[in-house]
Amino acid sequence: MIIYLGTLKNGIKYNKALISYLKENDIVVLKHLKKLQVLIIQTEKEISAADLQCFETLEIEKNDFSI
Amino acid sequence: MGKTNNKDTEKDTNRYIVLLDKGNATSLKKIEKEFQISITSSEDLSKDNRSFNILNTDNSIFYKNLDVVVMEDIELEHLNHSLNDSKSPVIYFEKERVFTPVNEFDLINELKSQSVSFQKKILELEDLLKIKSIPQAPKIEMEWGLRAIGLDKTQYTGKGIDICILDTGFNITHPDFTNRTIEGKSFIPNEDWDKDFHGHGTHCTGTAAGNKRIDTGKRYGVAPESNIKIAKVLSDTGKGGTSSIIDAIDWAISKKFRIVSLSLGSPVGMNELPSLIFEKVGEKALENNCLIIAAAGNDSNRPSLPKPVSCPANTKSIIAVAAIDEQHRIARFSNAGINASTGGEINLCAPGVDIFSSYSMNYNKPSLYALLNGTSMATPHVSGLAALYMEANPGMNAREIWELLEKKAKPVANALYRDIGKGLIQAI
Repeated sequence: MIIYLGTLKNGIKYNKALISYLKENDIVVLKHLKKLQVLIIQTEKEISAADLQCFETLEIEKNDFSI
Repeated sequence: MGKTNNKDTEKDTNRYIVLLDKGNATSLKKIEKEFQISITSSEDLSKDNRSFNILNTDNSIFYKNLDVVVMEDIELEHLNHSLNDSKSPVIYFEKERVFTPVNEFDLINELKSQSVSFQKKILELEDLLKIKSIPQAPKIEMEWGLRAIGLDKTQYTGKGIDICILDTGFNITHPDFTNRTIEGKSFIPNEDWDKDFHGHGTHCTGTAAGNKRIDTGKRYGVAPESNIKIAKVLSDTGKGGTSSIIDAIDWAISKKFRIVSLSLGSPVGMNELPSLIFEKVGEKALENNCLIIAAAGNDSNRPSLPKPVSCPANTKSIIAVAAIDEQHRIARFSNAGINASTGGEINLCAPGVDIFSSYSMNYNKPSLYALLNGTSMATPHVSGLAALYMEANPGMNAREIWELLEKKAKPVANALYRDIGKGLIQAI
């Protein structure tokens, strides 16, 4: 499984319709960060912002942050 | 031989200026008779017949328009007698005064010397008032990093400003923090925010928002009256991922914290583009009046070509902090703004070598304190100082505070812009 972080486009609301739309694309929402309008999502395939209508940016989770 | 000072002799001409009640012929005759002199009218003076040629013991001059007679070598007693004699025309007299031409430079020098003495008096008075009105706080010894950023000259302490440290957690049992109210949240599964088995988070928190050692009293914290907020985003091994960090930033914004301090990073390659997600996160934070400050990274090994600024410090909406040592030289390990084509500049620099701060007792360093190096240590200096700026400028938003931090930063000798940005942060 791959984890992505996506910023929602202006005007896109986080609601049931959006969750359904993402589910149709085999994407599971792990968390919605309200203030930042960021979704942490999980999927089995590689995706990009161009593939989906709702994201302005989409980046794969990096796990190499350190002190 | 030097010139003789004849000032005193010049003052004494032995002439008298005598004012008559009426300067008519009768009065003049009385005076001539009384003082046994001959009076010449000033009307008779000419180029060839000047007053100083006439004036002597026997001859005086009468100035008709003034009713004044100038006499020479007259007995003072005699004049006093006339003055007291109601029948005498003399109504006033005084000894001739000598008027010397004014030397403008002498006058200026005199005024200068007077102003110096006046200024001294003002300073003495000012000092006296300071001593009287302000209780003199005992001089507090502080770490070199605090002195380098001018904390010995500021009255601000970051009072009431929320600083959120995103790191490895915090050792809440540390004796230097027993009187502080600390709020926190962990974004790492099964690890608590109020424990720090690594020590890094406790060190950064101490620098940004700590105060002084409970045993020696030496100060190591920049903003001792700020509010400490802890977000554990790195595990006890010191590692973490994007989602934990961004989740914590969202929490900090929702809690309206003013400063987010990120002493962490992910290495970036040459010409690698900054993260768009962090760019958006930084912008959102600024829109919400929250300033994110991040370490530039420690991947360099100078004098070799330094490595580029790490993520997320390389985004334009997040302040990137480089490290300098006590001699104000760029730290060997400090990353630089060398990805010019893709952004990733250094904004500011701060002390980041041999930084003393609080620590967490762990198996690596069983001590309550530690000396550490890194841009991780420089970053909380900026975060703490930003709190002082916010306290001093309550009306300013996060962007304005950022601009002010850069404006007040001072240049570092022989340092490149790519290494230190606008310079070494300075307290206000």
